[in-house]
Amino acid sequence: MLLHRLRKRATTGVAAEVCVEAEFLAFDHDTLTLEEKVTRYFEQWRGLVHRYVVAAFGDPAAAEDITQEAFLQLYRSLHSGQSIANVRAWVFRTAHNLASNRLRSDQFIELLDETAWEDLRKTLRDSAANPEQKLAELEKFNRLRLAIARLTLAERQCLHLRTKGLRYKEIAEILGMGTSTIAETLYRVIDKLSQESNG
Amino acid sequence: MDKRFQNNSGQQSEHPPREMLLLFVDGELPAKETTQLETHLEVCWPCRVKTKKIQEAIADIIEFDEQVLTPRLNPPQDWRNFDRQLRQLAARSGRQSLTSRIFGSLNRFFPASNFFATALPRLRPIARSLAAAVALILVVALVLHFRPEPIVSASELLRNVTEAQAARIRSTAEPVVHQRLRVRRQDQSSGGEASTTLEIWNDTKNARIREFMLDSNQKVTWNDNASKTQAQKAPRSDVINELAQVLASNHMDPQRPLSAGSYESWHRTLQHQRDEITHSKLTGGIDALTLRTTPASPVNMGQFAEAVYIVRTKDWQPSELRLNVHSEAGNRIYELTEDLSEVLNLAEVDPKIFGDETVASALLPKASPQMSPPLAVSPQVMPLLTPPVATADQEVEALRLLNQVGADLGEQIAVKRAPNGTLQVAGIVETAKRKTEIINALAPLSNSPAVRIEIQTVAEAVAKQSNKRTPSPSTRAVEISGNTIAAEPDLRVYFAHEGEDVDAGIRRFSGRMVSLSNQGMDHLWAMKRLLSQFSPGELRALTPEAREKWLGLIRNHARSYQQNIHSLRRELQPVFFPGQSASEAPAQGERIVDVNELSRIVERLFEQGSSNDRAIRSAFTASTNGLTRTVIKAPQFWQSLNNAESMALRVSQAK
Repeated sequence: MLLHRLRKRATTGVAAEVCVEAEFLAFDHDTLTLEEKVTRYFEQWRGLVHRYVVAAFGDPAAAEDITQEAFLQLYRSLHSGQSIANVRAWVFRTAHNLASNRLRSDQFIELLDETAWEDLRKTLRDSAANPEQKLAELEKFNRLRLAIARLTLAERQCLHLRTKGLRYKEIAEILGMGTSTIAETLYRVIDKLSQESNG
Repeated sequence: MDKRFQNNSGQQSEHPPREMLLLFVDGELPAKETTQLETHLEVCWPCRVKTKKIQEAIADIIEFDEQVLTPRLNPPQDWRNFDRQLRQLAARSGRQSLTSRIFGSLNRFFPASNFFATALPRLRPIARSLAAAVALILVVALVLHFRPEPIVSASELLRNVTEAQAARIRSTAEPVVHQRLRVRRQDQSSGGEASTTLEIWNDTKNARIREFMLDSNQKVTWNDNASKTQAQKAPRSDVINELAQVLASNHMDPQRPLSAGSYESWHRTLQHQRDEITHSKLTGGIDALTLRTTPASPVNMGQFAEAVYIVRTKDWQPSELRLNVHSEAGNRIYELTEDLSEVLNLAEVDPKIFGDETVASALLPKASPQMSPPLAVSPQVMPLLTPPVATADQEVEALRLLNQVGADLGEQIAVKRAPNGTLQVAGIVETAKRKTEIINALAPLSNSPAVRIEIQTVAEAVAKQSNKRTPSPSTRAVEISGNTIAAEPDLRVYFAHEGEDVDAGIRRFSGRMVSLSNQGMDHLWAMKRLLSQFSPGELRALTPEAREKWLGLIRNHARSYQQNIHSLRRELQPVFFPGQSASEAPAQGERIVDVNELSRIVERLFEQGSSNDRAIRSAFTASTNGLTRTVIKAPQFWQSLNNAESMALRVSQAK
């Protein structure tokens, strides 16, 4: 039933990920122990959650801990009888809260500072089949990189949650904002980034 | 329908606000407004352009995310710590609470959603409380009715036992586990009985195991002063010898017969089984849990028709193991009862116990032609009472053995760690002959209790999984059809010029190109798998030999890939790149000396190789797209092949 409901929703590209989630949930769901279920959830979403925490809070060293802790909390909550309707959003929210509590925004470590970007640019250019053609694309990437670095914390969080496939309602729950605020914020992000990436 | 739109400040406008366009693109707009907007977009060019710009901005962000950000945010590969933390948490948390089980049951009845979250808020508070109370009573009744004894699952029970055993050992500095087991054998047909008592001393830190047999007066009758001569001359008890054979041939651990790891090791070999867990009482009224496992399919001679494992509830200490062994003359039952189990400090143990280094284990079976001993005669370097953990070196060895029979190319054979640390080599192969080949190749590892090998033929897997959803083995079909190949015009000119049978030449050439590219991809996949097999931490912990073995495998695949690409270039050059030279040596890059760099280069090589493979396939397999011919003729493609060859060369020389 759940699978069917989600398949119906899977009309856009983003919802395809939700569909994957449903496939996963339908898999032997009743025969798994709680520990096995949490392990499966962990295996499926740890990458996305980890990437979100690093991209939004900028501390790769803490992100692994935070991601694991979010899933251990999931175990604790399910074990104590809490019923969780949307496990993925729940895990993201928990990781977001843990990161917000642990990492101050002024600790944000820019993942792609000038040196790192220069290294990466070289690698990307050299590996391209046509390095000259790649240059234009790299320039665009550089403008986007700088524009993302200038986003506010909330804008950055909104953006990175959206790129991980979360829907507006889920992002609103995770960030504790209204859905319309999320829509406005995301529009602002798109507006800023499209202006920047087009030079 | 109202054709005007309202913006955030409530003003009416002919055009939708730009935020609305994003909502539309994101599929977040309510149905009614979507229809209204779609109608508007059909007629309004400016709004269509704005929508397109939003989509382009999203495309840029996604490209940036995939190509720039994500590669830098590589999640750690060393997530294994999580399994341990979760196991510990589960062991500490114990059974799920009643409410949790009730909600679990509710979710089974209402899988689509959270019942209380969706159904109850619509009711008034009093009605809501009443409904909740009625639902609770109903569910409790159902739970009690259908599951009168909601106890832990078999795997939870075994895991709890393992955790508790490990905790007991950890709490002592130099732990020596001392166990006294009563072993009783009973013949069901003749009613004959034999029994003996066995004492096992295991110095876990120094990996020394000593075993002694006691007679009914608790007098040591075998191996009494642990002297080498007496140990060798001492008659082995039939019961013990037989038991050792039985345990080993059923994948149990003869040195740790009562450990959960041993039970689990046998349990995992069963394809279908019934596990029944019940409450029971030990002598003295101590609460216990009894796990009774019965294989669902008929068993062969020497295999267990049933196993019973009894564990004390209060401290998860194993108390008894009963094995019902199927045999021609009627079943035999072995009962192993633990009389004593203590963890001592080495300093408290009589030094005579471990006085002689060469004493063999009584529970190790004598070598027989049918069965090689499951463990070496020398004491094993493994902590007692924990499941056998495979070493990373064994993991590398498994990869190497598979490589020797070419089982790491395209076949579905995976080498991975189970959460309990055992190494699993599992896969599906086409024929029984291939299965035998692979199993024989893995023979050097097959006797290790820490390694589990499970190779099935497709037919076996289908029969076994008929009720389960599993990925079907992928096969790659390549269709070569003479008159629909995109590269045909160039090939036709070339082969006509060469004076060959043109059609046959085209088919042969195309088939060869696709096959070379296929083989190349197999090597790329194998490299990628090898790199992701170990986390950076695990690589550091490998012995130099194992690391070199692992790196050697990657180098071999890189070399094979380079040769594949070189052959491809040599054959493509006269047809598509007459002005180029195929014999030029690939560019030499700096030697790779760092695993991170190796990983990056292999990743890039994989991307480039995949894109080359796509180009080859589209040019040489049936296709309706004429454009693909130009791709294969483009100088960029030639350059891309060169780049791939250079990268493969660098990987093949990595140190």
